Amino acid sequence: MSENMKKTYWLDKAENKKKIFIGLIIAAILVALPDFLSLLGILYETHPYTKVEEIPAFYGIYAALGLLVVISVAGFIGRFLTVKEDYYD
Amino acid sequence: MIEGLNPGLILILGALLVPFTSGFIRNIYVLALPIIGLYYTWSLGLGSFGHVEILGHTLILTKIDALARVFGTIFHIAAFAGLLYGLHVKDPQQHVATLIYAGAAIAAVFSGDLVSLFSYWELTAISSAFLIFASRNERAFNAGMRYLIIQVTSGVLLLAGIALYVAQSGNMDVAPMELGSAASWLFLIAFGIKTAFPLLHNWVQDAYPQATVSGTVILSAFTTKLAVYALARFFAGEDILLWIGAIMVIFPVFHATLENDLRRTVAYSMNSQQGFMVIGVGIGTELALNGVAAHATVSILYTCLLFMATGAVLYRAGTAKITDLGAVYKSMPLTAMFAVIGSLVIMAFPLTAAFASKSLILSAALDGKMVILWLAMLFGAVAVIDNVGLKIPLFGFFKPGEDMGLQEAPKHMLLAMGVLSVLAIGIGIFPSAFFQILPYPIEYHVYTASHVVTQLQLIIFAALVFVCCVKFNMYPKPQDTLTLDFDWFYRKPLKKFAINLGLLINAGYLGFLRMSQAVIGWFITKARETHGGQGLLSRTAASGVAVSIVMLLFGVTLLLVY
Repeated sequence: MSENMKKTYWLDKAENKKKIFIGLIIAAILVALPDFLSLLGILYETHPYTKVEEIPAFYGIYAALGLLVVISVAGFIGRFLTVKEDYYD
Repeated sequence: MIEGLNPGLILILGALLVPFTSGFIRNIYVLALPIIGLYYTWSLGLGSFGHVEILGHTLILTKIDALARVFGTIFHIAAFAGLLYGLHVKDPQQHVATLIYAGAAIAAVFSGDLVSLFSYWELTAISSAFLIFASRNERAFNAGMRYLIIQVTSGVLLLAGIALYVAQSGNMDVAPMELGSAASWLFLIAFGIKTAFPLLHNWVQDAYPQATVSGTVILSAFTTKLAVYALARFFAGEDILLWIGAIMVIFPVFHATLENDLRRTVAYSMNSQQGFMVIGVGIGTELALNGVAAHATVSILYTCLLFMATGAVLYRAGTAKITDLGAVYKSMPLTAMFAVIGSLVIMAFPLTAAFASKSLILSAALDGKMVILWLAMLFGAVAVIDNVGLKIPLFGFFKPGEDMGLQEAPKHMLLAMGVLSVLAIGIGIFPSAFFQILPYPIEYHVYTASHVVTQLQLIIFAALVFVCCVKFNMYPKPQDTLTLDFDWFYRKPLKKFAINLGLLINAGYLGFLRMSQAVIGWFITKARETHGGQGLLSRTAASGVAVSIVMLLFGVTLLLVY
C-alpha cells in the first residue's frame, strides 16, 4: 500500500487529462461524421422513423442539450431543496 | 419433487435450515439453493402445476409461462449473485431474510392464483424489511419502519382489490384485467407502490441506502421488478401507464444528479429506469413486452453490479459519500473496473446488455408512433449517462487525489461482480441468444450501423458536455447535504400533524377522564352527604311522617285525575 501512495498514476498527470478531453472531441466528431456523410449517400443510409432523426447528428445534439437541461434543472432545484444532512434526525 | 411445488418454495423452505449450518457448509448451502431452484424451474417447463380446491375456488400453486420464466430466471441469478456477494456476513438473519425474500419474489411470479400471489407479495415485504433492520442503527430502523408501513400498505390494497375482484367475477386466476372497476384501481395502486410510481416512490431512495452492504444489492433486485412483472401480467396496454412511465423516467434524474450518496444516486437512477419498463407495459405490444422482460433482466444485472461496487467501497471505506471519497481506484482497481462496466451497461454502450434491451422498448414506442414518449425515454437515457454512467465512476471512484489506502474488495464480492459483468456483456455480445428466452418470438437486429452510431453519439456528446461542465464548474458540486423529495410531506408536516393530532386526542381523552372523575366524585360526595352519618336520608324518622307523605301524594293524585 505504501508503494501505491508514492506511485504516480496515469490519470494524475494534467497532460493526460487533456489527452482524454481532446480524445472525446475527436470521438464526437467521428461519430457525428457518418450522419453528414449519409446526406451525400456515402457510408450508410439512415432509416429515420421520425422527422427529427433526419437532422444530422440529432442524437448527439439531443444528448448535449438534454445533459445541459439535467444539469441546469438539478442546479436550480438544488437551491431550494438542499438541506443539512441530518435534517430528518 | 413434490407435485406442483412452486420453485420459490425451494428458497423459502431452504432458508429455514440456514441457522443450523455454519462456516463453509453454510456458504455452499446458500449458494446451492438458487442453483437448484433455477434447475427445477427449467426442468418443469411451461404449464400449470398443483391445482388445489379450497372453499370452491381453485388455487394454482405453480404456473410457468414464458413471461414468468424470464423473471423467475433472473431472480434466481440475482439471488445467487447477491448471496455470493454477501458471504462475508456471519449474521444468519440476513441469509434467512435474503432467501425468504428472493424465494417469495420467485414464488409470486409463478403464482397461478390471486391468493398465492397476495401471500408471497406480503412475504416479500416482511422478509425484506429485515435486510434494512440488519444495519442495526437508528436511521436504518426508522427507514425500515417507513419501508414496512409502505410495503404492507401495498399488500393491504392488493388484498382489498382481490376481495372485490373475486366477489364480482368469482374468478381467482392471475389474468389480465381492464382498468375501470374499484378492484382494478386497487390492484394498480398496490402494484404502483412497489413499482415506485411518481409520488409513491420515496421508499426506494429512503430505504435502500440504509440497508446493509449486501442487503441493498438484494433489495434492488426483487421488489420493483416483481411489481413490473405484475403490471405486465395484469395491465399490459393500459394507456395511463404510458404517462406514468414518462413522468417516472424524468422525475428522479435531477435528484440523482444532486445526490451525494452513491447508493442513493443509483436508487434514484433505478427509479428512472423503472419508468422505461412501465412505458413498455403501457405500449403493450409483443415487442414492448419483450422489451420489458429484457430490460427488467438487464436492469437487475447492472443495478446489482453498481450497488455491489458502491457497497464494496462502503464496506472498505466505511462511507459511500462522494464528499468523503478520494481516488478509490488506486487501491480498489478491480472494484473500480466493475463500477465502470456497470456504468457502461447502464449507458447502453454497444456490446453491453442494455444496448439490446433498451432499444426494444424505444423501437416499440416508435412503432406505435409515440414520438413524445420516445423523446422522454431518450432524455432519460441521456440523464442516466450523466447521473450514473459518468458520475458514479468519475466522482465515486476516479476522483483526483491521494490513494485512500483501502483494501481491495473481498474475493467473493469480486467474484459476484464478475458473474454479473460476464452476463451483462455476454448478453450484449450475443443478444439473439438472450432473445430466445423472451416471452414472444422476436426478429430484431440489434447491431445495425445506424443504431451503433446513434448510440455512440448519445454517449460521447453527453460525456463531452459532462466533462466541459465539470471543467468550467457548471456541474452541481457534490455536498454533504440532503435534497428534499416528496417524502418531506410525510416525514415533516404530516408527521407533525399526526403527532399534534395524537396529542389532541390524548388531551381530549384525559379531559374526558378528568370530567368523568369529577362527576363521579360529585355523586360520591353527595351520596355521602345525604346517606352518610347524620345525612338527610340516613336519619331515622317517625312512621307517622311517612304515612302523612303517602296521604299527601294520594290527595294530589285525586285532585289531578278527577
